[in-house]
Amino acid sequence: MGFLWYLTIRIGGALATIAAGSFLIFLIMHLAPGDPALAVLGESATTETIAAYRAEHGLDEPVLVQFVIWAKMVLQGDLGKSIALAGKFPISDLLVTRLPNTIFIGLYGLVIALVISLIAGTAAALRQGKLVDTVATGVAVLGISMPDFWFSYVLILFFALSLDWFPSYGFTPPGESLIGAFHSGFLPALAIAAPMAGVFARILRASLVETARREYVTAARSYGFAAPFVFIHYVFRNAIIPFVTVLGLQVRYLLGGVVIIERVFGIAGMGSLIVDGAFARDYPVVQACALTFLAIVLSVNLIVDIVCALLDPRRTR
Amino acid sequence: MWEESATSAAFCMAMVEKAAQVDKNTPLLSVRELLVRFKLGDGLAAALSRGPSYLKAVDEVSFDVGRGEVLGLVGESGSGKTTIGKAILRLYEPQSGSIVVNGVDITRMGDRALKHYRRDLQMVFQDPLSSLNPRHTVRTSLRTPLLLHKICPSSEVEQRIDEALTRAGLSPVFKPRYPHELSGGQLQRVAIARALTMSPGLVVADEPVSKLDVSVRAQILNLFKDLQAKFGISIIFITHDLRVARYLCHRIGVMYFGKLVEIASVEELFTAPKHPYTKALLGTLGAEGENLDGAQVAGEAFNPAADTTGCRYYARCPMRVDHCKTAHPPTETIKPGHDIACYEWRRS
Repeated sequence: MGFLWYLTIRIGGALATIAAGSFLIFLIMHLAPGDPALAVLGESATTETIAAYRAEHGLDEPVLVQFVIWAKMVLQGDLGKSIALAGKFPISDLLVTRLPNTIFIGLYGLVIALVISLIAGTAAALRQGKLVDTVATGVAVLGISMPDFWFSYVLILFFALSLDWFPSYGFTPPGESLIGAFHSGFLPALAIAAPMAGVFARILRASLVETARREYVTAARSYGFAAPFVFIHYVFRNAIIPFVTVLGLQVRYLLGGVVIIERVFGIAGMGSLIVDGAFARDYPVVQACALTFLAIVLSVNLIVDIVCALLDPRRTR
Repeated sequence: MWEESATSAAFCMAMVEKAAQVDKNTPLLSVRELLVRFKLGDGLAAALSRGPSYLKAVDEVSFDVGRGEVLGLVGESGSGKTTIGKAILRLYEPQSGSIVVNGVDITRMGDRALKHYRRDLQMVFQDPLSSLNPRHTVRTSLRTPLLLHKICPSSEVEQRIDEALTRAGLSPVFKPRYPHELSGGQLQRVAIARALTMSPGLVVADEPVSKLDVSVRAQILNLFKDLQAKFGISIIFITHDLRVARYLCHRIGVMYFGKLVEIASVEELFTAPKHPYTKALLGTLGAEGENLDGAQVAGEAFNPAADTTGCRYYARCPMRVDHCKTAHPPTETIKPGHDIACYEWRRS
């Protein structure tokens, strides 16, 4: 019963968070200064056209009533239509084209960060105090402290403009060409990966060093187990638990980073959608994007918690 | 190698036989002039300075442990007791000296050859929670070393685990449990059972009761006493608590900053201590029975990093004279079984 009970509680908690979060998102959008009618209609707006626009999009109702209407639609799977974009696109159509790009870049960056940090963190821990450790730790600090937009421009300058290995702007959606997506997405993914790789590598190094001091590791060595066996089964598998936890927490920074990186590299993803939507006071679009981000963060945290529970018997028993 | 049957009686017989197999007069363990040093500072800082400096954690220490004997090693924290224990298990590489087990020198033995001797040398650690892998159940923790050393046919592994747990005073129902589900005392029994599964000749117990509740301490101490009495296991019992050492040990060695300053039988050490440090330690055992933690021994401590030439106890010693500054005193045997490293012991 231990694990299933744990799972039920965690999923229930995630659903409650989504409910509360969506209300908060809605409230913040409507409390923020600015009027979608003015943003869309511009200087030429008259009192009549503004009133008509508001009535058309239900903006004349009280905020709570608007929320109930919106929440009902969302529960039925309808995210509504854009109120600012000329074509009045259904938001679900926008998400279908934008979301895969963002998820692709995000996952791509995450994988790069994982590969770099696993290698660098392990190498630093195994050669603690040696040159490898000093270099890896130093580079990690550099990765964490560099602003991502600045690092993006450095990457563009070097790898796109000087060496011409990668495009400096634009992104081929993975649906069009997977190879193209990997190629054109490499620089943005690397820009997102840099700070994460730094954080991950440091956490992994610290966790490995700390775990290696435990007496069960000494005990395992005293039985004469081979060093790689002790490292994998006694050190690494225990050290990975805090690493996975931090990984889950970093996903929201990943999404925050994507917003900026998409701008810099001109990628049509969720980040540019939410920024454009916010400027145009396009409530439904911003709400839908924020809700999607919330759902992603919560599902990732849920997955991380489940993985941790499977790795660590202390969580469920 | 003799084969062991997994039945309980044969198991006991085998242990008794094993103890009788080698000549009674050869000690089970013989440590001679053991030197273990640690590099202070590493990496860039050490490379830029004139060279690495070393800390002699264990400085030319010699002693024997007989069959079925319990040797206590006492001293303040940092005196090198634990380092000796770990060096005997070859968890630290000794700089010089020798470690001889059952007449076989294992000091420089390679990993493969050493593996054969490792089952004979088991360790029980200070922190019971940290000494078991949190991801492993009690069963897994006990089974893994058994399988590695192929101690018994795999069909008999479960039975052997049950026996070891029972001997350590635990019911086999604990087998599917994880370490965090057990109390400190139960965990220490699991750690002892893990050592017992290997039928060791020598168990190095590193402060095995210091992190336990006082109420549980006596139980675990009695368990060690029983195991020694029933199976003739030799024990090196590392402790900072002289009363514990007195209760359990046959002989006690007193350590001071890497040096073994006095070693004698319990009766001799408590009735006729010769080294001024031993006397100071015994003096701290007041009515409340303080132990050696903290600086109850008055005077300035020795600085182990600065490699001074004189007696390590010089700074604190009430009996110091000028020639104590020239070199650390050599160890002399003042009567059979009573060794001391002090120039001025006759004055006491």
